[in-house]
Amino acid sequence: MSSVVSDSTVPPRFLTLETGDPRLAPLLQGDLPTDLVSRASTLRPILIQSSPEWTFEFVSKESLRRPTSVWVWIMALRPDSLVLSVGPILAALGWLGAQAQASGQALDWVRALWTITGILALHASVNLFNDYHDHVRGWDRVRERGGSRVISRGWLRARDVHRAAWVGLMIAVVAGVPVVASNLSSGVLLVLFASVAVLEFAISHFGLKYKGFAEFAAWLMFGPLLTGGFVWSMTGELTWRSLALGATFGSIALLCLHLKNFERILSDGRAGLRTWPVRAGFDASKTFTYFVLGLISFSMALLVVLIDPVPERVLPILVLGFGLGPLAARVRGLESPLASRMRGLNAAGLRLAWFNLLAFLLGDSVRLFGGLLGAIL
Amino acid sequence: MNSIKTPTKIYSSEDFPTYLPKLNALYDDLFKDGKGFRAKLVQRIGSKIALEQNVIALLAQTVEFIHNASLLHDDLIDHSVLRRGKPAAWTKYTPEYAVLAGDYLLARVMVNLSSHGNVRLIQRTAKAISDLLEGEWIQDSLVKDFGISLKDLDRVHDLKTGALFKLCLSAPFIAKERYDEKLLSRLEECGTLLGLLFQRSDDLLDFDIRNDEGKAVLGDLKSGYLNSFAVWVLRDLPTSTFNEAVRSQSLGEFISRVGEGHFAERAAAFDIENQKLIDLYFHRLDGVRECLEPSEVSVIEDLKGLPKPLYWRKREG
Repeated sequence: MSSVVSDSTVPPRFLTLETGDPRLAPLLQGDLPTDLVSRASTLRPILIQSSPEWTFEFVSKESLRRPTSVWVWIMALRPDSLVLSVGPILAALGWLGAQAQASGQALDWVRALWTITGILALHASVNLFNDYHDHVRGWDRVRERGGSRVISRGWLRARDVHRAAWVGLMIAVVAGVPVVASNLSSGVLLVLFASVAVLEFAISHFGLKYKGFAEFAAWLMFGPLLTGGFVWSMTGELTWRSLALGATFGSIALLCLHLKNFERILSDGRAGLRTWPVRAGFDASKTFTYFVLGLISFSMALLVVLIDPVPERVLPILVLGFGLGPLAARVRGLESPLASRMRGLNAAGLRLAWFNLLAFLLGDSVRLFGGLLGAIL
Repeated sequence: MNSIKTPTKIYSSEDFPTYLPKLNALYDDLFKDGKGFRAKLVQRIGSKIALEQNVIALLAQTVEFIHNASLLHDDLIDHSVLRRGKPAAWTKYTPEYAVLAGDYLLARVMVNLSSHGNVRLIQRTAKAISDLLEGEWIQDSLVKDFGISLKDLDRVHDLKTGALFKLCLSAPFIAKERYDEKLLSRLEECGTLLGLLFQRSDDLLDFDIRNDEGKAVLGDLKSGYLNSFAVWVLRDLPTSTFNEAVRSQSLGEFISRVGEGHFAERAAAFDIENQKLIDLYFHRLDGVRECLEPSEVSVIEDLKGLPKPLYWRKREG
């Protein structure tokens, strides 16, 4: 079925296609047929509940208010969440660098660079695949929040996003080859990380998110698995210290993902998606947030007191000390799944993660370049 | 729609037993001045698709009872002392009676519908009630939240207001055992759009725009609730202006704080924005038309006329 507005008083503005319509697939890819869309306009999918049909709106390109191409692509790569994927690697690298300097050993910076390049490319690829699949599955219409939404806003063609995702994946694979080749055991761990990341967080292959387990997967993958695998590949040893470092960053990733899903509790609940906050409920999700904040504090304390007791670690402790309280207060004040303070919860978690990472890196820089803070303290 | 007979409150002889004190007086007060818009809509659709008269009466009573039950509860929740220009039921008959009367209406809906025997219809009706209550619940949790977005309000209104419109449009077809999922989903989309249009229009009344009924103005804002038009007007204003405006105690105060020119410009833009919803509604009606039998197609003309009274508050004809 295809229907363009027929009411004579209204100019053609909408187009609705059923799932089986042969014109739908090319339209979803962003290939707009010239008989439908002039060069001056484009089509944008619009939300009418969660209809099985697709309704598009004809939109003039002028009215899109599209940022510059560079900025749109940067948005599509979701740099704000980079802290969850590259952050643990950088923190582990800083720690390794400081240790190497203290012991007089050399660090394989080339291998580290390959790893960071691979993780960066993987991060981009996962997010681009995620945007693409959300779009073609129609999930962008249901959930108005989340994702970069560069496709549903009509800013980028789905086909281009899909191509860029594959390019990102290829770069990640190429960057991963020297890392895997240098240490097969740790390489397998990193390949496992990459595979699960792509399959779960890009295309929801395992559907962990909808079984309520994505938070645990995030803790493991963006925490001990990532730091442990990285340190293993760099030093040839799988150490408790690297896992403890990962526990801290994993807990922060867990917080961010939980806050992200908590923000969407109403949409996901109404759509019948069984994310962890939907399963636990609104009030229990608030309690779970406090638990995660406690977990972050505990893992940080463990790291600082038992694993890496150096004065520079006071910086991330200060960051967490100042950051966790306001976040807990904000969550405590939430009374509604649509409360305005629900918006941006995930962003608040990510901000905390960035400050925490910066504090780690600053501390490691001080250790690397003279131990200035240590001298002062 | 005025030519259609307003449904009586009695469908079954067991409705409203006379031995309960104050019950009938309360319901007479409640139904007396209602426009019965939703009941008339159901009657109009039902008659156009040749639904039996007793089933039409049942559906009309169903939507009217659910709507009035929501009003009984809503007035108590909002502490609104007036309903249709008269004392609200909870002030005249006590809050306890208002709660019980609302519950009783919903119970009668289920008793009468189940006697009809169409399980799909019962399920759909129960879903409408639960959606409506979810919407009420969420709306109540948003009081004093002045950061709410229009998108989020739309979601509340889809539940709270759209639920009954969706039922009005789909129930006659379900009662006729037309279970075509495509038809029902398109009708429900239209119901969503009608619900949003009606709610946004109702929100305009609060700012005395097209307020021919003479409804009390600025009630939402004074009770700490930003309605859709308030959100639309206040969007992008400087924080200081915003904070002053939400504390307004009269419409004049509100307009002077946001600026007369800004208020008029936003009101015009609001109509343009909502015209898009109306266009979309007409578009989806074309989809509905494709699913109808030739003998039913005339219902489309009736449905096309709905935005006029619902959003523009203009009488038909």
